Amino acid sequence: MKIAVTGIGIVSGIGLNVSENLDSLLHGKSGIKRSLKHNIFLSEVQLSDDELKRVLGINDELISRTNLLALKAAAEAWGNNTGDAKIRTGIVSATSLGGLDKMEQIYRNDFEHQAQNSKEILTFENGESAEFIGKKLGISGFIDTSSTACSSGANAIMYGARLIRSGILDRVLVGGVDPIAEFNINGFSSLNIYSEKPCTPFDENRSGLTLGEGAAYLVLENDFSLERTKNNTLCLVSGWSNATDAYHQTASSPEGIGASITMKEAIEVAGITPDEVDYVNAHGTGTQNNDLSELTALKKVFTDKFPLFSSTKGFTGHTLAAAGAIEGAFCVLAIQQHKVWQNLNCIVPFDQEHSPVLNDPLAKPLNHVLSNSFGFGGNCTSLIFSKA
Amino acid sequence: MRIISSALISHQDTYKKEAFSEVISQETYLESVLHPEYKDIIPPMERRRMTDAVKMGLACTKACLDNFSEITPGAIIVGTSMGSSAHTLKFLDSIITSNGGLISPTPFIQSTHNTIAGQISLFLKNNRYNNTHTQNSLSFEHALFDAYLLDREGVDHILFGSSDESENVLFDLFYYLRAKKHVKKGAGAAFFLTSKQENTDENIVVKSVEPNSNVVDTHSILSSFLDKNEKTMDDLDLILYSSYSNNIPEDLVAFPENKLVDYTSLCGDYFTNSGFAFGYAIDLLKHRPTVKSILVYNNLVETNLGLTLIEKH
Repeated sequence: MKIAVTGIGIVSGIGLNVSENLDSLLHGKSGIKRSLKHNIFLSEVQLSDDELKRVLGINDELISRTNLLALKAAAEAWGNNTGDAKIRTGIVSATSLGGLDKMEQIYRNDFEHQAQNSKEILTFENGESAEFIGKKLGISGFIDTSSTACSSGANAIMYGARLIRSGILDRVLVGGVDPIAEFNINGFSSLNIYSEKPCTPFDENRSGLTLGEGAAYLVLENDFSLERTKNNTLCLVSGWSNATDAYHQTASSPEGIGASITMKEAIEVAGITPDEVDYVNAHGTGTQNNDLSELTALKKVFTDKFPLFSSTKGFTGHTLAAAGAIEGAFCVLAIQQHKVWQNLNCIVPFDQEHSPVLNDPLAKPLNHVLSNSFGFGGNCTSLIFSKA
Repeated sequence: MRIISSALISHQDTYKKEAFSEVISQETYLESVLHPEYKDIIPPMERRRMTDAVKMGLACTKACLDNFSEITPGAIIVGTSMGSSAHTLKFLDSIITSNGGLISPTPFIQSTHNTIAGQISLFLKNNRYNNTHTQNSLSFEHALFDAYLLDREGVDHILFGSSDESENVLFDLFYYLRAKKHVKKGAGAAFFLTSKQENTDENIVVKSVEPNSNVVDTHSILSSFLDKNEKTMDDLDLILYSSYSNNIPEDLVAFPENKLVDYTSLCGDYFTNSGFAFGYAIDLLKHRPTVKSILVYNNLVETNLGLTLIEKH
């Protein structure tokens, strides 16, 4: 059964919509800047909460940045789709913070007293943003949120694809969102994991990740839905897998156990051979541990023909639960544009024989693209996007 | 999908207690969760770092696999609404008090919702499918749904369940804002193991599960759910329900009152208490010969409706 991608929406540090994101990818424009407020490099969405509210026409004072970013991207992906009682439609979203960005603001000030009078606390519930998107776009029924830390967005896409393949839904809006908040800024800082310059995935001297924020959503449809919506197919979701490293709560195994299992299985689900994968959009956070483990896994999986690969985190930073969705959308764009995105900031690849795509986006027809996302808890997810 | 093993930790004496459903009542409800001895299950170094949500998940995992030590679960799936909320608040506190100084990463690492499922995979050294669903009052139903899908996809021995801890500040505010009166604040964990192999005599089978969000009309959802499963209300031996109001849901008022159980009154009010209801239903099916078909009707939040049909064949 074919699972078509018929819409995408992206908001990230390199653009407020798909065309701005594409322009940045084509021209090597990174969204990473030094934040004066936090004195670290960040890739922030260039709209304040108030500006996002204006753009979205929302007046609710209490809304979290999570909900605003999610709606921005989800509404773009959803486009002109409408409710149709015959098309069984659902949402699978992803977030790791939920509305914690809003909650932490009031937590600082006499929490118990203030919160008694405000609804902010309710945004803490992790599934709230998925329900919110549903209300705004007129979707009810099957609404779910996957939360597996930094692989959440990829798991949402995988789950949506499985819901369609099993005949549960005909059309599903899938994706993920995470804002930058004091909570995650301080969280990764406590892990001493920030790069002192914009992150340099797969570079010999890489020293950590750069935090980013954003959201991306994709519309997936089966043939029945396509017949009714007449939407154009951008590409297909053809393979997926989720496996577990079971090595350490935060670190990846040096052998890339979980990563190699999930890549192999996703390739199997897609019904292709490893040789047919033209491009891998790597998780590539820029930490010593992740990039070494991921490249080791790639070498295990791709033994005959090694695919072109790159991490786009030099553009967007690591957007946590949104990463798998944003990078999934970048894979859709790669297939449409016949381009392999460049791996920014890598000067000397740590493995000279296996270098990511370093310079301008490389023109190449792409049939099958694999996207990796790994998270805390050893969660590893791979997706395969294929030309329609 | 057949359930072969279950484990519950709750505000009742349920952990490793076969036929607990014949004993518990509103009167036996305990003020706090009745935790098992975690020191027998989790090594001290790890245990100190873990929140209740993680510890309960691990203890239930162990109990589920007690009689199936040869089984390697084909998947681990957890539903949790709040995750390790105690660590989330602890980390927020440390951000505020540290004033930019060094802070311990432990509560941050442990605060992610998938710490429960991740720690179970580490505990079992399990490399298989691992997912965490966080959807408000339907988090358990979504974990169950994922298991149901995987079972259809051919995966055997799926370990799935839910875990939510009570964190006082957050919970108090949640209940205040939801304007619920006279609630018992609950917490707990419920885990289950599936099998594709049919037993020769009796089987506990999940017939259908349906999580619904942004719901306006619960009545039509209930009728179409029953239709799809070729059931009428008369075919149900029991309905275990939760309600956003303190009353019997309107959809169920016509059902004989002696066949209705308000499960929130047994286990307390928390967003994954339908996991308790599911475990309670399984225990009832196993130990009450006359009960063959149970519906769990979860309307804990007004706009969310979870429907689960469990049967004995």
